[in-house]
Amino acid sequence: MADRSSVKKVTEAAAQAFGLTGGPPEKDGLIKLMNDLVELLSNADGLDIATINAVWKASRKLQSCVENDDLNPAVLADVYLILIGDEQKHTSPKSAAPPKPAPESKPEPEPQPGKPTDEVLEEEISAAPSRPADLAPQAADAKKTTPKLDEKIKVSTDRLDNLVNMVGELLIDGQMVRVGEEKYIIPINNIRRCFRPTEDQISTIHGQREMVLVRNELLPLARLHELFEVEPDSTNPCEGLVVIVEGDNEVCCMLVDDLLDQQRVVIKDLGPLLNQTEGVSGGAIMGDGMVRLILDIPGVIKLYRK
Amino acid sequence: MSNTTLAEGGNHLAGKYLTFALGSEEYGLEILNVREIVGYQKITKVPKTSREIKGVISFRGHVIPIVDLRERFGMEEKAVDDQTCIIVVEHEHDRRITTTGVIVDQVSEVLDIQIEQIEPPPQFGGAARVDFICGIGKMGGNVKILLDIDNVLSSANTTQWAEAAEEVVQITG
Repeated sequence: MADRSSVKKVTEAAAQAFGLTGGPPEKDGLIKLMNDLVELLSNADGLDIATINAVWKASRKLQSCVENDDLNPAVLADVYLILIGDEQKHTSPKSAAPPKPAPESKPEPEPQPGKPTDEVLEEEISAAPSRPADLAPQAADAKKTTPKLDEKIKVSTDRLDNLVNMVGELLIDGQMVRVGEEKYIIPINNIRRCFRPTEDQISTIHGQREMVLVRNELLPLARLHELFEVEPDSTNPCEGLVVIVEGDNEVCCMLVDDLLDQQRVVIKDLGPLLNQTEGVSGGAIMGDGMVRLILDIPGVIKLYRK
Repeated sequence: MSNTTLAEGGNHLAGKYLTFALGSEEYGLEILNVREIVGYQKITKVPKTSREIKGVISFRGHVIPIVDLRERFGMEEKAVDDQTCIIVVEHEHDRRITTTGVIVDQVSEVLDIQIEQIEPPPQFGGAARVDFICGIGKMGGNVKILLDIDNVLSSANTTQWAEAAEEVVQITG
């Protein structure tokens, strides 16, 4: 059975594998790390949900890194920060042993509607521009893959995929939103912030695509009611709410009618007839017995781009 | 094909069937495929799916899809009433046993159908398919279309099924 000490051990190994202790990122080390993470997930009885989620998230990112032979320092740093972020939640600030890249002095995270402060903090951590700069020149050297390594990668990724199939269900923190009579759940990890836009923030391109100006950044506006063909309360963005969502390194504004409560939900598989549905990653059974759909934000953005 | 032919190779078809109505037609589902019958309940719509998939419901801690058999067979839509039921069935989909709910107008009864009472599905010309029918049960003056639920809930062409269903009723009715 895994416990906190196993997680700490893996996190320390990660620092070495990612080249944070001086050497270059080691592909062999990354594969070993991925195996360790899979091992943790397989024996996760002694771990709390937040840790399982962190390990899970790190494993998926690492899998994509190793599979694509992309030792991008920024991505590796992300994986490390996810792990270290979880580790720090469980230890006092003084005892945080691994060398977390020192961020520049940051302002207090701005409270965001519908988002708990610790989520904002986590987002700040993963979005911080404090990637270890010394990883960059070493990444290119580590890109050479040998057949033996390829085989190891395959075994690791197969194990992870099997685990995904076996587990089938995962817990997430979700923000429930309403569009007309329908309610959907957006994973909180995908939400940056939400607000009610003013008319001067909305601009149109060629009379079709709409953009929202948020803090000097123009973001596309996806109307969820149009994507999912449901009847909204209002089609005027200034009467609804805009949720800024992020997935697969893409950011998009999503128009909804209302924000409801936040809940921790179990993701349920929709079954073979429906699991290819675009923009939906699964369902959750709510307290009233109804099923609510959990949005797959990268899928919704892809749907919007179509 | 004669009854004798069916009796030779179709002994597995004899057994208990749950019968239900869709409009004026009576259908039968092998009882071993039926997991439960539940009353009609609020269904969560799933966007970007075909019309016959009405959405999902919670069933014993799982999320299961709900298929409207009227839509599946190309029949006219009918308003939900107190007779409308969801039959939860287990079927094979992509070599996996899957649970799905099907909406029917009314559940009738469980019938024990002997092999002598089952005729092979009629052969149609054209594009009409009958692979969703495993046989036709003749009980007195009534005809029950015995469904092969694995094929009904697979992702084949529904228009062809609709044509076939109509022809079955015309020929046997």
